[in-house]
Amino acid sequence: MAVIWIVAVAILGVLGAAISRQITDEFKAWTPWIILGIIDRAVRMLPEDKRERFAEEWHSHVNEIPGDVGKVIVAAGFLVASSRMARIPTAAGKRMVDTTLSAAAVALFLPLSIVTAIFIKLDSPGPIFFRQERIGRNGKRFQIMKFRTMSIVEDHAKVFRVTRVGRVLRRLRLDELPQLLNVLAGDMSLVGPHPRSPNDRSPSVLHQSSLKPGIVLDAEPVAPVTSKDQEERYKKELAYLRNHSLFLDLKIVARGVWRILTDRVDAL
Amino acid sequence: MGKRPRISSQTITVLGAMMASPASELSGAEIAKHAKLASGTLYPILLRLEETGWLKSRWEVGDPTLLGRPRRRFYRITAEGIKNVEQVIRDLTPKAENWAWR
Repeated sequence: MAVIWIVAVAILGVLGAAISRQITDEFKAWTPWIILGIIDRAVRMLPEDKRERFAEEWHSHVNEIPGDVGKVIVAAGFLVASSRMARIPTAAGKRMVDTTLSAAAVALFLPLSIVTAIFIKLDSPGPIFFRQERIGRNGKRFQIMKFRTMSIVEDHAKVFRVTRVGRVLRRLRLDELPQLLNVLAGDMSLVGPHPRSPNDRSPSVLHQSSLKPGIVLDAEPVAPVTSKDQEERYKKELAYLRNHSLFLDLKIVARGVWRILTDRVDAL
Repeated sequence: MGKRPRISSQTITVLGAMMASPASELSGAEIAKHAKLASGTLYPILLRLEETGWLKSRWEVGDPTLLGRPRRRFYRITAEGIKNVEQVIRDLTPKAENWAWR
Protein backbone atom coordinates (compact mmCIF):
# COMPACT_ATOMS: atom_id res chain seq x y z
CA MET A 1 0.00 0.00 0.00
CA ALA A 2 2.79 2.39 0.99
CA VAL A 3 4.58 1.68 -2.29
CA ILE A 4 1.48 2.63 -4.25
CA TRP A 5 1.36 5.95 -2.42
CA ILE A 6 5.02 6.69 -3.04
CA VAL A 7 4.53 5.94 -6.74
CA ALA A 8 1.39 8.10 -6.82
CA VAL A 9 3.16 11.04 -5.17
CA ALA A 10 6.10 10.65 -7.55
CA ILE A 11 3.77 10.63 -10.54
CA LEU A 12 2.00 13.74 -9.25
CA GLY A 13 5.33 15.50 -8.71
CA VAL A 14 6.55 14.69 -12.20
CA LEU A 15 3.17 15.64 -13.65
CA GLY A 16 3.20 18.95 -11.78
CA ALA A 17 6.72 19.81 -12.88
CA ALA A 18 5.91 18.81 -16.44
CA ILE A 19 2.80 20.95 -16.45
CA SER A 20 4.52 24.06 -15.12
CA ARG A 21 7.45 23.65 -17.52
CA GLN A 22 5.03 23.01 -20.33
CA ILE A 23 3.03 26.17 -19.60
CA THR A 24 6.07 28.46 -19.44
CA ASP A 25 7.82 26.92 -22.46
CA GLU A 26 4.71 26.98 -24.62
CA PHE A 27 3.97 30.50 -23.56
CA LYS A 28 7.45 31.67 -24.57
CA ALA A 29 7.36 29.90 -27.90
CA TRP A 30 3.90 31.08 -28.87
CA THR A 31 4.04 34.67 -27.62
CA PRO A 32 5.21 36.39 -30.85
CA TRP A 33 2.63 34.47 -32.87
CA ILE A 34 -0.18 35.26 -30.42
CA ILE A 35 0.72 38.95 -30.31
CA LEU A 36 0.74 39.13 -34.12
CA GLY A 37 -2.70 37.51 -34.22
CA ILE A 38 -4.18 39.75 -31.54
CA ILE A 39 -2.89 42.99 -33.09
CA ASP A 40 -4.12 41.83 -36.48
CA ARG A 41 -7.63 41.22 -35.13
CA ALA A 42 -7.60 44.55 -33.29
CA VAL A 43 -6.50 46.51 -36.35
CA ARG A 44 -9.15 44.90 -38.55
CA MET A 45 -11.86 46.47 -36.38
CA LEU A 46 -10.59 49.95 -37.29
CA PRO A 47 -11.68 52.00 -40.29
CA GLU A 48 -9.50 51.20 -43.29
CA ASP A 49 -7.56 54.47 -43.34
CA LYS A 50 -6.28 53.89 -39.80
CA ARG A 51 -5.26 50.24 -40.03
CA GLU A 52 -1.76 50.55 -41.43
CA ARG A 53 -0.75 53.23 -38.96
CA PHE A 54 -1.93 51.45 -35.83
CA ALA A 55 -0.61 48.06 -36.97
CA GLU A 56 2.91 49.49 -37.08
CA GLU A 57 2.46 51.76 -34.06
CA TRP A 58 1.13 48.93 -31.88
CA HIS A 59 3.83 46.50 -32.94
CA SER A 60 6.44 49.05 -31.91
CA HIS A 61 4.56 49.64 -28.63
CA VAL A 62 4.66 45.92 -27.81
CA ASN A 63 8.38 45.87 -28.67
CA GLU A 64 9.01 48.38 -25.90
CA ILE A 65 7.30 46.23 -23.24
CA PRO A 66 9.58 43.90 -21.29
CA GLY A 67 8.33 40.38 -20.50
CA ASP A 68 6.05 38.03 -22.40
CA VAL A 69 3.06 38.25 -20.06
CA GLY A 70 3.19 42.05 -20.18
CA LYS A 71 3.36 41.98 -23.99
CA VAL A 72 0.25 39.79 -24.30
CA ILE A 73 -1.71 41.91 -21.79
CA VAL A 74 -0.83 45.11 -23.67
CA ALA A 75 -1.74 43.49 -27.00
CA ALA A 76 -5.10 42.38 -25.59
CA GLY A 77 -5.63 46.01 -24.57
CA PHE A 78 -5.42 47.00 -28.25
CA LEU A 79 -8.61 44.96 -28.83
CA VAL A 80 -10.36 47.25 -26.35
CA ALA A 81 -8.71 50.34 -27.85
CA SER A 82 -9.85 49.58 -31.38
CA SER A 83 -13.38 48.60 -30.39
CA ARG A 84 -13.63 51.97 -28.66
CA MET A 85 -12.03 53.86 -31.54
CA ALA A 86 -14.39 52.21 -34.02
CA ARG A 87 -17.31 52.73 -31.61
CA ILE A 88 -18.22 49.07 -31.73
CA PRO A 89 -20.96 48.23 -29.17
CA THR A 90 -19.70 46.45 -26.04
CA ALA A 91 -21.46 43.16 -26.85
CA ALA A 92 -19.84 42.91 -30.32
CA GLY A 93 -16.47 43.96 -28.92
CA LYS A 94 -16.81 41.35 -26.20
CA ARG A 95 -17.47 38.61 -28.74
CA MET A 96 -14.39 39.75 -30.68
CA VAL A 97 -12.23 39.61 -27.55
CA ASP A 98 -13.74 36.21 -26.61
CA THR A 99 -13.03 34.56 -29.95
CA THR A 100 -9.55 36.07 -30.36
CA LEU A 101 -8.28 35.28 -26.88
CA SER A 102 -9.91 31.85 -26.58
CA ALA A 103 -8.54 30.80 -30.00
CA ALA A 104 -5.09 31.95 -28.86
CA ALA A 105 -5.51 30.10 -25.57
CA VAL A 106 -6.66 26.88 -27.29
CA ALA A 107 -3.53 26.98 -29.47
CA LEU A 108 -1.35 27.78 -26.48
CA PHE A 109 -2.75 25.00 -24.31
CA LEU A 110 -3.14 22.37 -27.02
CA PRO A 111 0.05 20.42 -26.17
CA LEU A 112 -0.78 20.62 -22.47
CA SER A 113 -4.33 19.45 -23.18
CA ILE A 114 -3.05 16.43 -25.08
CA VAL A 115 -0.74 15.51 -22.19
CA THR A 116 -3.64 16.00 -19.78
CA ALA A 117 -5.95 13.83 -21.87
CA ILE A 118 -3.38 11.01 -21.89
CA PHE A 119 -3.00 11.23 -18.11
CA ILE A 120 -6.77 11.16 -17.61
CA LYS A 121 -7.05 8.04 -19.78
CA LEU A 122 -4.16 6.30 -18.00
CA ASP A 123 -5.39 7.16 -14.53
CA SER A 124 -8.94 5.79 -14.69
CA PRO A 125 -11.35 4.32 -17.20
CA GLY A 126 -13.89 6.67 -18.73
CA PRO A 127 -14.14 9.56 -21.16
CA ILE A 128 -11.66 12.47 -21.31
CA PHE A 129 -14.32 15.14 -21.12
CA PHE A 130 -17.07 15.63 -18.62
CA ARG A 131 -20.24 17.30 -19.88
CA GLN A 132 -22.99 18.76 -17.81
CA GLU A 133 -26.13 20.70 -18.62
CA ARG A 134 -26.01 24.34 -17.62
CA ILE A 135 -28.21 27.37 -18.12
CA GLY A 136 -26.80 30.06 -20.38
CA ARG A 137 -27.95 33.33 -21.85
CA ASN A 138 -31.71 33.92 -21.85
CA GLY A 139 -32.29 30.57 -20.19
CA LYS A 140 -30.82 28.61 -23.11
CA ARG A 141 -29.43 25.25 -22.01
CA PHE A 142 -26.01 24.08 -23.14
CA GLN A 143 -23.46 21.39 -22.31
CA ILE A 144 -20.51 22.71 -20.32
CA MET A 145 -17.19 21.00 -21.11
CA LYS A 146 -14.59 20.10 -18.51
CA PHE A 147 -11.81 17.58 -18.17
CA ARG A 148 -13.08 14.59 -16.22
CA THR A 149 -11.72 14.63 -12.67
CA MET A 150 -13.87 11.87 -11.19
CA SER A 151 -14.31 8.20 -11.78
CA ILE A 152 -17.31 6.02 -11.07
CA VAL A 153 -16.71 3.26 -8.61
CA GLU A 154 -19.53 0.89 -9.24
CA ASP A 155 -20.10 -1.23 -6.23
CA HIS A 156 -23.65 -1.59 -5.06
CA ALA A 157 -24.45 2.08 -5.63
CA LYS A 158 -22.77 4.56 -7.99
CA VAL A 159 -20.03 6.40 -6.12
CA PHE A 160 -18.07 9.27 -7.66
CA ARG A 161 -14.48 9.59 -6.57
CA VAL A 162 -12.00 12.31 -7.47
CA THR A 163 -9.08 10.72 -9.32
CA ARG A 164 -5.41 11.40 -8.58
CA VAL A 165 -4.95 13.28 -11.85
CA GLY A 166 -8.28 14.96 -11.15
CA ARG A 167 -7.03 16.38 -7.89
CA VAL A 168 -4.04 18.02 -9.62
CA LEU A 169 -6.23 19.34 -12.44
CA ARG A 170 -8.66 20.87 -9.99
CA ARG A 171 -5.92 22.48 -7.95
CA LEU A 172 -4.48 24.08 -11.10
CA ARG A 173 -7.97 24.84 -12.45
CA LEU A 174 -6.91 22.98 -15.58
CA ASP A 175 -10.17 20.99 -15.54
CA GLU A 176 -11.86 24.22 -16.69
CA LEU A 177 -9.69 24.46 -19.81
CA PRO A 178 -12.19 22.79 -22.22
CA GLN A 179 -14.63 25.63 -21.46
CA LEU A 180 -12.61 27.57 -24.02
CA LEU A 181 -14.50 25.42 -26.55
CA ASN A 182 -17.78 26.61 -25.03
CA VAL A 183 -16.53 30.17 -25.56
CA LEU A 184 -15.61 29.48 -29.20
CA ALA A 185 -19.02 27.86 -29.71
CA GLY A 186 -20.66 31.03 -28.44
CA ASP A 187 -22.39 29.58 -25.37
CA MET A 188 -20.01 31.22 -22.92
CA SER A 189 -17.77 34.23 -22.51
CA LEU A 190 -14.30 34.40 -21.00
CA VAL A 191 -15.63 36.67 -18.27
CA GLY A 192 -19.14 36.48 -16.93
CA PRO A 193 -21.40 35.13 -14.21
CA HIS A 194 -21.17 31.49 -13.24
CA PRO A 195 -23.38 29.21 -15.37
CA ARG A 196 -25.86 27.55 -12.99
CA SER A 197 -26.97 23.98 -13.30
CA PRO A 198 -30.72 23.56 -13.89
CA ASN A 199 -31.39 22.52 -10.29
CA ASP A 200 -29.49 25.46 -8.78
CA ARG A 201 -32.19 27.92 -7.80
CA SER A 202 -29.85 30.55 -6.30
CA PRO A 203 -30.22 34.14 -7.56
CA SER A 204 -28.29 34.87 -10.76
CA VAL A 205 -27.83 37.99 -12.86
CA LEU A 206 -28.20 35.83 -15.95
CA HIS A 207 -31.96 36.10 -15.52
CA GLN A 208 -31.88 39.89 -15.57
CA SER A 209 -29.36 40.67 -18.29
CA SER A 210 -28.32 39.59 -21.76
CA LEU A 211 -24.90 38.52 -20.48
CA LYS A 212 -23.48 35.12 -21.32
CA PRO A 213 -22.12 33.01 -18.49
CA GLY A 214 -18.33 33.09 -18.24
CA ILE A 215 -15.33 31.02 -17.22
CA VAL A 216 -14.21 33.54 -14.61
CA LEU A 217 -15.68 36.54 -12.88
CA ASP A 218 -13.52 36.70 -9.85
CA ALA A 219 -9.90 35.60 -9.59
CA GLU A 220 -10.60 33.71 -6.39
CA PRO A 221 -14.08 32.21 -6.71
CA VAL A 222 -15.52 30.53 -3.67
CA ALA A 223 -17.61 27.49 -4.40
CA PRO A 224 -20.91 28.47 -2.82
CA VAL A 225 -22.01 25.99 -0.20
CA THR A 226 -24.28 27.98 2.07
CA SER A 227 -26.98 30.42 1.02
CA LYS A 228 -24.75 33.19 2.39
CA ASP A 229 -22.03 32.22 -0.13
CA GLN A 230 -24.64 32.26 -2.87
CA GLU A 231 -25.72 35.72 -1.83
CA GLU A 232 -22.08 36.85 -1.85
CA ARG A 233 -21.67 35.48 -5.34
CA TYR A 234 -24.84 37.23 -6.50
CA LYS A 235 -23.56 40.53 -5.07
CA LYS A 236 -20.32 40.17 -7.01
CA GLU A 237 -22.28 39.42 -10.16
CA LEU A 238 -24.44 42.51 -9.66
CA ALA A 239 -21.32 44.64 -9.18
CA TYR A 240 -19.90 43.19 -12.39
CA LEU A 241 -23.14 43.89 -14.26
CA ARG A 242 -23.07 47.53 -13.11
CA ASN A 243 -19.43 48.17 -14.04
CA HIS A 244 -19.32 45.89 -17.03
CA SER A 245 -16.89 47.01 -19.74
CA LEU A 246 -14.38 45.38 -22.05
CA PHE A 247 -11.61 46.94 -20.04
CA LEU A 248 -12.90 45.39 -16.80
CA ASP A 249 -13.06 42.01 -18.58
CA LEU A 250 -9.44 42.25 -19.62
CA LYS A 251 -8.40 43.18 -16.12
CA ILE A 252 -10.20 40.12 -14.76
CA VAL A 253 -8.62 37.83 -17.39
CA ALA A 254 -5.17 39.31 -16.74
CA ARG A 255 -5.58 38.84 -13.00
CA GLY A 256 -6.69 35.23 -13.53
CA VAL A 257 -3.81 34.42 -15.88
CA TRP A 258 -1.37 36.04 -13.48
CA ARG A 259 -2.69 33.91 -10.62
CA ILE A 260 -2.32 30.74 -12.65
CA LEU A 261 1.21 31.61 -13.80
CA THR A 262 2.38 32.56 -10.33
CA ASP A 263 0.83 30.90 -7.27
CA ARG A 264 -1.21 28.17 -8.95
CA VAL A 265 1.88 26.42 -10.20
CA ASP A 266 3.70 26.92 -6.91
CA ALA A 267 0.68 25.48 -5.09
CA LEU A 268 1.72 22.06 -6.32
CA MET B 1 -10.23 70.61 -35.65
CA GLY B 2 -10.73 72.99 -32.81
CA LYS B 3 -13.65 71.06 -31.36
CA ARG B 4 -13.18 70.47 -27.66
CA PRO B 5 -12.73 66.77 -26.85
CA ARG B 6 -14.51 65.13 -23.96
CA ILE B 7 -12.31 65.73 -20.94
CA SER B 8 -12.32 62.64 -18.72
CA SER B 9 -9.98 62.16 -15.80
CA GLN B 10 -7.91 59.85 -18.02
CA THR B 11 -7.72 62.53 -20.70
CA ILE B 12 -6.34 64.89 -18.06
CA THR B 13 -3.75 62.27 -17.07
CA VAL B 14 -2.60 61.99 -20.69
CA LEU B 15 -2.46 65.77 -21.09
CA GLY B 16 -0.58 66.01 -17.81
CA ALA B 17 2.05 63.57 -19.08
CA MET B 18 2.40 65.57 -22.31
CA MET B 19 2.58 68.91 -20.48
CA ALA B 20 5.34 67.65 -18.16
CA SER B 21 7.76 68.12 -21.06
CA PRO B 22 5.93 70.11 -23.76
CA ALA B 23 8.97 70.29 -26.03
CA SER B 24 9.71 66.57 -26.20
CA GLU B 25 8.07 63.85 -28.23
CA LEU B 26 6.84 60.66 -26.63
CA SER B 27 5.82 57.28 -28.03
CA GLY B 28 2.55 55.65 -27.01
CA ALA B 29 4.45 53.17 -24.83
CA GLU B 30 6.23 56.04 -23.04
CA ILE B 31 2.98 57.93 -22.47
CA ALA B 32 1.35 54.75 -21.14
CA LYS B 33 4.21 54.41 -18.67
CA HIS B 34 4.19 58.04 -17.53
CA ALA B 35 0.41 58.30 -17.29
CA LYS B 36 0.06 54.73 -15.88
CA LEU B 37 -2.73 54.01 -18.35
CA ALA B 38 -3.58 50.72 -20.06
CA SER B 39 -3.20 50.46 -23.82
CA GLY B 40 -6.96 50.01 -24.20
CA THR B 41 -7.64 53.36 -22.57
CA LEU B 42 -4.70 55.32 -23.97
CA TYR B 43 -5.05 55.03 -27.75
CA PRO B 44 -8.68 56.16 -28.07
CA ILE B 45 -7.70 59.27 -26.08
CA LEU B 46 -4.58 59.92 -28.20
CA LEU B 47 -6.59 59.61 -31.39
CA ARG B 48 -9.32 61.92 -30.09
CA LEU B 49 -6.80 64.54 -28.96
CA GLU B 50 -5.05 64.32 -32.30
CA GLU B 51 -8.28 64.69 -34.25
CA THR B 52 -9.13 67.85 -32.31
CA GLY B 53 -5.65 69.27 -32.92
CA TRP B 54 -4.41 69.23 -29.33
CA LEU B 55 -1.74 66.67 -30.15
CA LYS B 56 0.30 65.98 -33.26
CA SER B 57 2.09 62.76 -34.16
CA ARG B 58 4.74 61.70 -36.64
CA TRP B 59 6.66 58.57 -37.53
CA GLU B 60 10.14 57.96 -36.24
CA VAL B 61 12.64 58.78 -39.01
CA GLY B 62 14.05 55.67 -40.61
CA ASP B 63 13.15 52.67 -42.71
CA PRO B 64 11.59 49.79 -40.75
CA THR B 65 13.56 47.28 -42.81
CA LEU B 66 16.84 49.04 -41.95
CA LEU B 67 15.80 49.57 -38.33
CA GLY B 68 14.90 45.89 -38.10
CA ARG B 69 11.74 46.76 -36.16
CA PRO B 70 8.49 48.68 -36.68
CA ARG B 71 8.80 52.47 -36.45
CA ARG B 72 7.64 54.28 -33.35
CA ARG B 73 5.03 56.97 -33.57
CA PHE B 74 5.87 60.08 -31.54
CA TYR B 75 3.32 62.44 -30.03
CA ARG B 76 3.79 66.02 -28.97
CA ILE B 77 1.42 68.65 -27.67
CA THR B 78 0.60 71.51 -30.06
CA ALA B 79 0.51 75.23 -29.24
CA GLU B 80 -3.25 75.02 -29.53
CA GLY B 81 -3.22 72.08 -27.14
CA ILE B 82 -1.20 73.99 -24.56
CA LYS B 83 -3.58 76.96 -24.83
CA ASN B 84 -6.58 74.67 -24.39
CA VAL B 85 -5.08 72.81 -21.45
CA GLU B 86 -4.42 76.13 -19.71
CA GLN B 87 -8.05 77.05 -20.36
CA VAL B 88 -9.22 73.74 -18.89
CA ILE B 89 -7.07 74.34 -15.80
CA ARG B 90 -8.58 77.83 -15.45
CA ASP B 91 -12.10 76.41 -15.81
CA LEU B 92 -11.45 73.79 -13.16
CA THR B 93 -9.77 76.17 -10.68
CA PRO B 94 -12.24 78.01 -8.42
CA LYS B 95 -11.99 81.71 -9.10
CA ALA B 96 -10.64 83.83 -6.23
CA GLU B 97 -13.39 86.46 -6.49
CA ASN B 98 -16.07 83.81 -6.06
CA TRP B 99 -15.10 83.02 -2.53
CA ALA B 100 -13.32 86.24 -1.51
CA TRP B 101 -16.53 87.70 -0.06
CA ARG B 102 -17.74 84.67 1.81
